Amino acid sequence: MNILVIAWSMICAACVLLGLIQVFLWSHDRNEPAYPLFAALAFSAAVVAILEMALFLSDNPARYQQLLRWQNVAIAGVILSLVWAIRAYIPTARRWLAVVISLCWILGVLVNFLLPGNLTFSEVHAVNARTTPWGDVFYVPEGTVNPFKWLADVTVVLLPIYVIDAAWRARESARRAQRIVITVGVLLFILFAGVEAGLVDEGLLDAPYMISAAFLSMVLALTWVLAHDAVQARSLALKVTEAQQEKSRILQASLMGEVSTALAHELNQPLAAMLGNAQAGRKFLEDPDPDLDEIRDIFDDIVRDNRRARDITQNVRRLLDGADEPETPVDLERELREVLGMLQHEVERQGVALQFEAVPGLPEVAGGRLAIQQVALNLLLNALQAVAEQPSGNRRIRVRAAEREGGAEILVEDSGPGLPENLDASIFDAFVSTRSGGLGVGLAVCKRIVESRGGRLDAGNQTAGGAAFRVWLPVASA
Amino acid sequence: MAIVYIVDDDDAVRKSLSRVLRAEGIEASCHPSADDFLRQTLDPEVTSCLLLDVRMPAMSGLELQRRLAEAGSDLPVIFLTGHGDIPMSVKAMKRGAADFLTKPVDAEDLLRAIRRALSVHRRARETAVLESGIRARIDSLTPREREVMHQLITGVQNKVVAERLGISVKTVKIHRANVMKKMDVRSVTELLHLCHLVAIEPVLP
Repeated sequence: MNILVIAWSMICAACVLLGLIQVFLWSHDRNEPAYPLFAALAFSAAVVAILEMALFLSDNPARYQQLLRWQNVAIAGVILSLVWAIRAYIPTARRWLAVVISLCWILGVLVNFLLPGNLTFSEVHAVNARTTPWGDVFYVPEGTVNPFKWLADVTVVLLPIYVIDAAWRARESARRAQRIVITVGVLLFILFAGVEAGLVDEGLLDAPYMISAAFLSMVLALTWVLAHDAVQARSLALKVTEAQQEKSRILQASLMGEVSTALAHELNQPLAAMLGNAQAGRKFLEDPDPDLDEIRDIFDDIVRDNRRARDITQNVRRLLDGADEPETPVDLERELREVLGMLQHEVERQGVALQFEAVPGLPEVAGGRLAIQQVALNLLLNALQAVAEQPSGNRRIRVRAAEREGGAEILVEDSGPGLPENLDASIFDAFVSTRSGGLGVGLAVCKRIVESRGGRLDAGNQTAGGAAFRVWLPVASA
Repeated sequence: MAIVYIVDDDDAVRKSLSRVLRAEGIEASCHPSADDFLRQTLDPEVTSCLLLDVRMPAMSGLELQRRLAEAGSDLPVIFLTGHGDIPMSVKAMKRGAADFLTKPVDAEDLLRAIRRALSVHRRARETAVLESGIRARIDSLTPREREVMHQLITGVQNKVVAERLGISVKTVKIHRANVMKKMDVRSVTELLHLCHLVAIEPVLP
């Protein structure tokens, strides 16, 4: 088995593989011109490897001359795609140098086809058999060097200047390591390939053309860059995941805090009343002639407040389960004011300009106090989060309540970045908290609450920017 | 005679608090809102304090406290809050709240705070009565008598007073007798004490 053939086949395979990877990258990022250019480079190098193999196996001068012509075309492909890939990858590369190198090779290809012989030799007189130390036979050319061969040779000088200059001018910018590796790869390739081919052309070196072998330095450099990018992408992805988890944990905590504050406030009233009544009742009993009517009243009040507390806990549990709360007519303005009061501290802390308008004489709507408060609280928390991303002078939230279409409407508008363009009904799924998340609050619950009362919850963006949520609830049935 | 004003928007809480006070023989006056409380005229002669819910619709407890302070009220304010909001309690205490209690509050703690607030108010009222009496007496002095009084409390003899004011010793003696009579004191030391209570201090030449 011919070891040279095995080696060149492997080089060819490596080039094809690299090319396929670049095509794959290109298919995922159509806007990056470096990918198709690197792919063209790798595939051209694969063709160079195949033709080099054909050349060192060819014992016929005429056939050798013909093959060398096509080889020059393949090399032109390598150089042109390399020059423009470098310019795509390192934008500081000088355009005029790229144009000069390209023109030389385009002229070279014309010479290659229009003048006798090819760009390398005007005529190949003979091919001479040589033997490697391990006994493989290969052929080297002997002929008259084409006077226009400088068109190709000039690349060996210009390309290193071109790539070193580009890398130097980009030394301060990002992806420095990648640029250095590619620059070194290009330099090794062009110097080794150019010098070796020149020596073979002049008959000074008894060796096959090894341009594709030199290209292995480019294969290594590009593979290293790919591996490096993959590792970086992975660690970036990890960081993003961590940041997202942190964000959702904070959101959960703040919701938990708001809900528990509201709950504590609601429960504390009946608890305070019961405690006072019980302690006063005891004191009244110490009187030698206690007022029994008063004490009976006290017990009645304690029972009533106890029921009130029980109703609150039951409602909260139903609410958090997403189930219905018993429907009672709701005074929207009162509930909105209560929710705004709960958030007042946070609004002041963030320096948000909050505007609240309620048209007088709003009809009572279907709902249940806690349910409506929960909806309002969620929408306002979302708005607060949205405006927090804005500079402190531009944090505005507007809450409006008005009568509309046989019901009443709450409009919550913020000056935040607004909802994503491809907005659809799925945003009502986006914030769903599962049971493991703990609370089950969010837009999904809001929508369920509102719709179970025969209302509507819509989301959109204002024309001036920022999100707008609209809740419509029908008038409470008598 | 003492009255505790209760301002809380929750009917049940108001009723229960007033019962706790009534069981101790303290009169309570209940108001469902800050506006309702402000509508009545307070009797300045009655020792009283204010039991105030922090969180109420319309005017909050903090807002009512601010308005009272602006109006120069000396009514001690005890806050009741549903949850231990530290920034809010700091704000209230800085503005001179007498106490800050968390709902549900134990009768014992509530009564202790109320008794303390009432005694603060009583003392403040007594001082106010005393001060206004002294001021009335000083107002009854003629300008010349007041000059003589200012000299006397520096502890100098009649002769020196006469010299400083450029009048005869005999005239000083007459003015001095009038001052002591009008101020209802028997000695310069007593006079100095009364002056001190209304922040009139001896000015040494």
